[in-house]
Amino acid sequence: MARPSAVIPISAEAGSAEPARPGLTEARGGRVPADVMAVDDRGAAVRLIDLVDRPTALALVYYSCEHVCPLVLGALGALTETMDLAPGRDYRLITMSFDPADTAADAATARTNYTKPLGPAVPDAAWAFLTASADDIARLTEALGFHFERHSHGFIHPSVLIILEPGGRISSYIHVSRTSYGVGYPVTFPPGTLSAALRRAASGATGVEDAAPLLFCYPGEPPAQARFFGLMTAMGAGTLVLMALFFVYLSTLGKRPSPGGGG
Amino acid sequence: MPDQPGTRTEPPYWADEGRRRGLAAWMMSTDHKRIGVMYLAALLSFFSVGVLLGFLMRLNLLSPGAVIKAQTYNELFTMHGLIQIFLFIIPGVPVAFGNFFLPILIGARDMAFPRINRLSWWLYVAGALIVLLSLVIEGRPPDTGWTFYAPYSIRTPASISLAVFGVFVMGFSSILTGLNFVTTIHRLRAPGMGWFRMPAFCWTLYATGWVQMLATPILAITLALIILSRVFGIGFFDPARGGDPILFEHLFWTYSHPAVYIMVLPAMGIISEVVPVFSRKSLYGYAAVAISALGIASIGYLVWGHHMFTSGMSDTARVVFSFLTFLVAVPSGVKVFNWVATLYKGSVKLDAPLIFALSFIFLFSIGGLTGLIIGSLAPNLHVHGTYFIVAHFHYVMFGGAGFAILTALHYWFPKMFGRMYSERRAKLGWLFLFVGFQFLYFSMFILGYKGMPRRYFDYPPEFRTLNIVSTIGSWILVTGLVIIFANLIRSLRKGPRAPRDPWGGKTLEWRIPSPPAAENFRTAPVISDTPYDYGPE
Repeated sequence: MARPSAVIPISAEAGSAEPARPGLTEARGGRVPADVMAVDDRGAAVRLIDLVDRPTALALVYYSCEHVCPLVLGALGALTETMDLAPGRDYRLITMSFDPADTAADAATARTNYTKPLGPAVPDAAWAFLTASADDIARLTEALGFHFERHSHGFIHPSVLIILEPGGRISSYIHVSRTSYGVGYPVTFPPGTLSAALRRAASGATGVEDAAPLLFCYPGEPPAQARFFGLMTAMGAGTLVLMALFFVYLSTLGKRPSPGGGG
Repeated sequence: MPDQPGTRTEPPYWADEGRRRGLAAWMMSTDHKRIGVMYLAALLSFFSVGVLLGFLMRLNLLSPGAVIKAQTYNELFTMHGLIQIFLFIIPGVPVAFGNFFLPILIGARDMAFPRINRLSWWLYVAGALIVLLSLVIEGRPPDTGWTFYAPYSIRTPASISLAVFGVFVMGFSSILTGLNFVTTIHRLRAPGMGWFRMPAFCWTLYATGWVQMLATPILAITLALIILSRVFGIGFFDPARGGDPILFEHLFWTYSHPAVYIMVLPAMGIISEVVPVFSRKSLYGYAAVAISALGIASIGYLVWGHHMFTSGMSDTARVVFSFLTFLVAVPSGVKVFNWVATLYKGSVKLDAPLIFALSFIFLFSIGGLTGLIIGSLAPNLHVHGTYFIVAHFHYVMFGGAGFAILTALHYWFPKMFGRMYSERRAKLGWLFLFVGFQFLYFSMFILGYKGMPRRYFDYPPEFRTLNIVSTIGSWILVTGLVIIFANLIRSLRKGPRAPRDPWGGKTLEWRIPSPPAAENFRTAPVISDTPYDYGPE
């Protein structure tokens, strides 16, 4: 079902009347739409809301990302070891790709990459790796206030964890930030922050806005770079040719006695 | 034949002969020896300023905030880097000792282009003055770090444009020096001096000359783009205007990594001169030493990406850059092996120049081997941007190039100034310097490994002990430098007169009087043998 009034452009050319800039409009107290369908890493269709049967941390990423998304997923995995809550029992992790081109196979690769090092402490059911259709993605991200934009080499999007209550109500947002206290390099989440947020979600309370600055995942391939790079290449090649000619010139000339004669 | 030992009929090169006298005669001189001496004086003056700034940084880290404010600290490490890198160690060996000795070592009377040589010197002075001017006019002193990374260098209110322009001007000095050296080596070698009869120092100057000509223009363009960005708001490196800050990093390191070899190649050349003389043996594997200089210069060109492993690069590029970084270690290893093999079964005389040269080999090896740790992809993620990097490049640049300059000073001082210095004081100064160096910089390896980030004004309590050790090391090191330079400066006037060949060297500079006359050789020498002729082994 197409939604012509969608304000989240899935790609640059699909931009309608007023495309939202990449960013985050917190929709605390809102709900995950009940009809959003997803595909898990085995290729089976699942209703997203069915997975949210306990406090859940949802990370929206794209699986081909080489920038911040892998760091977020790595930090999420590390959290399962440092938090005082048990994954699968006390809370669930959901990783969902907002790139409709991602497939279940990509999701399965991501699962292997991020859960294998954690061992049996994180059972398969505790961490879902999902993909979805463009339409489902649009409805989900709109409801979550998550705005992203397709770019030549990936997506520009905020890096954020979304904490959901059992049943799909949005409890709070945790910004991925490089500057908040206790955040190490490259990306780590303070374990206390997430466990507090999950506990709050379990009790059905809504959190407050995260004051930390928001980190954007940004592929950064400027449009004019190819031309600029071409110019640099031409100049570099020119210099090399010039130097080669200089070398040939020096080598072929006969030697000359030192200035001032002598000898 | 060359002059007879101990006889002097011509005045030394510093005697004024033309219509100019005093300072004017020096500044207008095209004599490569005068230019070399002027460069040396300027370099060592800037070096002492750089040391002072580093000393103050260490003082701050003893008790952060007690003496120096955070912004001042940023300005201190920026100026420390700018001065030590661009004003001291990049020009370093080639302009001072290369200028003075290259023509002598190949049996020429001067450079191929003496007036261009003088122009290089003027450009260097002008550039250095402009850099220093940026300290006092147009806003606050530069605070970007010596790398001028965009976009901060475009946005900071500090006087970046002026500092960058100064470095730009010095770049032309470097290019012209490279051009002059390469042409001189090609065209002005004395009769009989084939390529493989040149002293090894000339080979390293030759390789360096090409790197200077090829790499420096990239720096010049990059710096010009910074100025255009700041003055006209063109967004070359500003993402908000469609530019790319990573591009700046690439362009900057495309120059600045080869620049490391501009610093260290001629330094290796000096060691290759000193080691045979003080072990009374031919340089082991001369051809390998010569060729490895060219190898380092050419591979060193292609490794710049290893500065940016964490900046966002494809895995393919990372693996290639890492591999090339390992590759460039091979010719460096060849050189170390050859120096050690030269000492083996030699008649080793442990005079001051050799002590400094041996320290070079030791410190440079530590610097080089830790470079391999940094050049591997996985450990790089751990130590990138930490004090481990600071320790590494101080071992390479100070322990390497810096110690080579001290080696050259003690080796060629009698030839350049016609006086001997006190061996005892030189060795005492070396002892302080060497010991202080380890305290100062080795503790940084540990600090970095534990995760202390570089360029920070403060640190958590667990880093305190090692920071105290490091700062105390800086006091010992400075004491050593004071002893060394006090000894040399005193000897300029009070030292006993130097004989023609105090060390028993075989290269051409030891066949002419100390100090040399204005035109070096009364008659052009004819070469009929290898440069290190110590007879059958």
